[in-house]
Amino acid sequence: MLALGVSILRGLFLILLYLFLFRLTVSMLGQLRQASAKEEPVQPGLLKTRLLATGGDGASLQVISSGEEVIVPGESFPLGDITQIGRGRGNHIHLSGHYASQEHARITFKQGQYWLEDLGSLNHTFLNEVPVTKEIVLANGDRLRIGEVIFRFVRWAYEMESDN
Amino acid sequence: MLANLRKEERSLLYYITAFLAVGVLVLYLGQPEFNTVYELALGSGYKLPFWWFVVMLSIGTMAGFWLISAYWRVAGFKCDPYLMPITASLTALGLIFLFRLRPQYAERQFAWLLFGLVALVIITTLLRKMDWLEDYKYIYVAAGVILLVLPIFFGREQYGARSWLDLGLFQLQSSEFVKLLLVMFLASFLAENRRVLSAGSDQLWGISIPGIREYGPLVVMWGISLLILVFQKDLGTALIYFCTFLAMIYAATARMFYVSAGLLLFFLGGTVAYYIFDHVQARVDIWLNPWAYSSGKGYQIVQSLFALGSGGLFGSGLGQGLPGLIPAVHTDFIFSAIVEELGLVGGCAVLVLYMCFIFRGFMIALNARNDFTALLATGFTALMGLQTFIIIAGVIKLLPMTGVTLPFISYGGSSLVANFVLLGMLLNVSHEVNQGNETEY
Repeated sequence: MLALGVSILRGLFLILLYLFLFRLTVSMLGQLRQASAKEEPVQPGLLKTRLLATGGDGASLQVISSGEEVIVPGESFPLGDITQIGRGRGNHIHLSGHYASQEHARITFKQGQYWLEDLGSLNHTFLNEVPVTKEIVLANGDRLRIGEVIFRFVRWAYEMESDN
Repeated sequence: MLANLRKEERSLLYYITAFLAVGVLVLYLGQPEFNTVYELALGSGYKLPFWWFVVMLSIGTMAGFWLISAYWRVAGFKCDPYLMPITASLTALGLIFLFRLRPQYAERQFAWLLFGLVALVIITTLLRKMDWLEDYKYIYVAAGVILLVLPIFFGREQYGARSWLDLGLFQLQSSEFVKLLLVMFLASFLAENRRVLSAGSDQLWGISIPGIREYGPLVVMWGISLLILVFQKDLGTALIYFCTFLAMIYAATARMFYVSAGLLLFFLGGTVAYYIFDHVQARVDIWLNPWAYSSGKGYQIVQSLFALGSGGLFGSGLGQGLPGLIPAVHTDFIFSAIVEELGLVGGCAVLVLYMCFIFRGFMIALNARNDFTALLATGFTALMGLQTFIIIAGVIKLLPMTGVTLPFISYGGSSLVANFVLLGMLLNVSHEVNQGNETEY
């Protein structure tokens, strides 16, 4: 009788260990779910408070095509003295795709010119389908590609409109 | 959720309490006739019945954990609710096996546990803001070097490694604390220099190769690990230091170069050490074929393998195996005893417990608020995971056996206290994270 009781208790010992593990896992999963539910509504809020570029002389990047939900074709991003492009939240143009690096590329306005520079990104920045290796001057109509997102560099847009 | 952190912790602690109670009951019913009078080694020869001693220590252990949870609630400490119960479960399991295997060691382990819990309370009270720790990195180096060098001159050699300091009343294994100092130093060093270290200059086969001066830390760390190996004859510690360093530098720079070059260097160093030093050669020979030495040097590992095998799926049942045949079963080989008595099922449960600990540790690191605390959490978690891996792999003959403790379970005073300090630091990082979240949302 005692022997049976002890055997049952020995089983219970293991069962309790597994009950603890089960309870622990369930609780940790619940916490993970809560954390991801918390993060989602934050995403659109961040986009609205997008960093505004200041300075520059009115040039912009127009989205031609995009594989992302966040960036829609036709959208236009004004360029400032310094415009950062990348996946990180501190960028002026915030890309969400996996091909973009945290800090992917930078466009700087200096001496009346816009200079494009790749910040050591993994998947490169392409200017007219040529990978950017050093700082390079942008000209009106240049095509800028990062992953699946293609921008057109537009400068003096009002002149173009009058030409048409 | 955040308001319920301590509630969650308490509901998990109920399971541990029941677990420990059932464990003690099984031990008692298993051998109720074991009625010897136990003489307290530390309490100046005070005598009491053995089972009273066991019950008192168990109650004391659980009371310690409960009181800490209550204290955190009162003090408004918002740390991770899972790490402490996981630790409590590992400690409880360790105590049950020590009661069963070596009661004298259970008593000492309990004394060390009290020190550990006090250290946990002190750290979670005084070090909640951790940013200032970043500024003292060279003090950590100095303290670490002193602690490492002392046993070389004043230490005593035990179990084939010279890493114990004899302090009269008790012995201290200083390398256990050097681990923590190493992680703290590396975290602040890497947080400061990660940009330099991660900026690659050239590319080779898709892996960017750093310039000469960026090799510096790698080579220095390699040298230190080899020195430990040579002078302290401590294989496990050297391996843990070096792998922790690799894990942290990878976390800081995301460059495979450091990991691959580091492992290559380590294998080179290990191969050279194999040909030069007898003790390294002996360990490797035993690992390759313990059966050839089964009555001599390989006796321990062979007994461990027998124990693992005889456990089977569900084990022989708590208190019914013969793990006492393994030498040093209460420290390095406690995992074999657990598997023999609780079987594959119990062994897996222990592994999953460690995995949960490591998972939470990395979650804390991912959410940490600055580079320094993130690297600190990464380093401590990596340290914990590597130590567990190295000892369990040694016991099951996956790697050559190296004498390190199984965190929180094995008997080992310095290691237990050091692990509680580690736990306290991790919890401080998570407190910082959770506090930030509450003000943010």
